[in-house]
Amino acid sequence: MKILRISNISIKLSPKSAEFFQLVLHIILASLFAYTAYEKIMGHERFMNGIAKVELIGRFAVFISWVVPIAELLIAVLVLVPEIAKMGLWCFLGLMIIFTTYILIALIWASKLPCHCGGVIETLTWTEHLWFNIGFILLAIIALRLEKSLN
Amino acid sequence: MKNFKKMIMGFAAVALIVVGSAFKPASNSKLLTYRYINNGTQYVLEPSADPTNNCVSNSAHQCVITTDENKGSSFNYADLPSDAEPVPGSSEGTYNP
Repeated sequence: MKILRISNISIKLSPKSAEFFQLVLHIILASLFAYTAYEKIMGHERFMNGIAKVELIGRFAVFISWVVPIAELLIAVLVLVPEIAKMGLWCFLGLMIIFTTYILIALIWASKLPCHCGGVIETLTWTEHLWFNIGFILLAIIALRLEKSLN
Repeated sequence: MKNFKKMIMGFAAVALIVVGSAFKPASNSKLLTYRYINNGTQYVLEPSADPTNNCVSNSAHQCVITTDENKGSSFNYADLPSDAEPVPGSSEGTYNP
């Protein structure tokens, strides 16, 4: 029996269920980045124009508009390869924290910041988007705890 | 072998999700933005234009503007979108990096 501990909450899982749960979590996390990267690459000009409007990072629009989707794709691949999934999960967590910080800045200081975040995610309001990101950060933390308990 | 099987399953599932989503384009984006520069005769799309130190005061039109409207690769001064506004740091003049 594997025990997954998140803060004070413990969930007992059989090794098979734990492995299945882990695979599902990895697929969910990788899908998010693969999907948003795909949308950013397909609508690259629009994504780049959006970044160009942001005062502090606008001058790096071309660079950022390629680095972000490529990083997302690489992280999605890392998360799906079992041997290096742990590194992928840490990278996923780091990038999600950066994105969430951007949302917090948008909410607190500049609600007119653009969000070319990819696909249906763009239709969320900033507050919904914040909760969405927090949800995925929690999923990444659970996946990391599970990774630790399984290995 | 077990890890390989897991990896293949993972990639297949992610590919299905991404390909499935590709047929449902998003609408109602939070903000669509385009950045145009004044080249002396018209406005030209320039996503990474930075007005700082790149604007020469020799025109009555703004040097770098943004708009939520897609006006294509260029448009005349007379076709300026109603929501167009100068990028912070921009002044009246032409863009000359």
